[in-house]
Amino acid sequence: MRLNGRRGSALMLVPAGFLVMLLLGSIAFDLSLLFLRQRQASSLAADLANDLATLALDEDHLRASGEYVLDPEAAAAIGRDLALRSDLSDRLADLEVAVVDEAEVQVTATVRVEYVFAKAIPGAGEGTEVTATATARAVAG
Amino acid sequence: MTLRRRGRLQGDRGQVGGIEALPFGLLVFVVGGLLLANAWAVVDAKLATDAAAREATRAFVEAPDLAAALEAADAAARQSVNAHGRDGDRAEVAPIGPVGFARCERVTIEVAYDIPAITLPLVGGWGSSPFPVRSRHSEVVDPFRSGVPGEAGGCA
Repeated sequence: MRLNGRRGSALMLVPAGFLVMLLLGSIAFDLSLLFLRQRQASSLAADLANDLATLALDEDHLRASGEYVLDPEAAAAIGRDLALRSDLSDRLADLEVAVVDEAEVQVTATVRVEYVFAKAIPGAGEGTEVTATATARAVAG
Repeated sequence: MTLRRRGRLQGDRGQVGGIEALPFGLLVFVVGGLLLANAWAVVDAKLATDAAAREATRAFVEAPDLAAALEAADAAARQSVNAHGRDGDRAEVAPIGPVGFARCERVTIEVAYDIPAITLPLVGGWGSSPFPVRSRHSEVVDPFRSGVPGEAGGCA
């Protein structure tokens, strides 16, 4: 007799399964976006450090003593200027430039990430921040 | 008169109740799946163009002269796009603004890659197709390297 057993009862779970699949897909997408921003932040920090290792040279000190020394204030100012001209300027949350050695500079870039799909999930955050640090040293040669 | 007790699920009553969830669920799944696939394609292309723009700029500032720099940047960008599993010949590689090759010269290179976008019912998709994915990268020609014209003073 029809409809006597449980055959086909799982059919009604299929739409729910579809929604679960979409949910998982959207989580995967937002996490890949996070990964993209992390790479961009890392790339920005590395390039800023690379540029600052020579651009932030204290020229007066070099001419007076012959020593290669980076100027921390110039490094911070130039770093900020370069970061504002980058692709990530509108997402940059924080930028720290530190001269850790006479010829070594460390750049830490913090970038905001705004989720695309997670906003639709109750309780999920609007976004997060990722941080990347890079160090560069000027070497004569 | 005798009443015949009928067991549950013995008849056809109510069998279509909730059946609409199946086609609508499928529709939402297909539309949502296409939306996610489109979005993922854009993110994936952005990863590729980001890396390509960075490699192109790096190749530019390390080249010996302007002609070699432009050639090296173009080749580096296309190789990078190829390495990400996409067609490097479809990428557009172009410097932004006036291009010079001297100490302290800032170079910005943009890599663009078109992604075919699907216009979806209900959600509309991502706009007109193809959807251009662009990445820019900028670097300064090292002020203290040898063999490059220009002066290092006033770099900042």
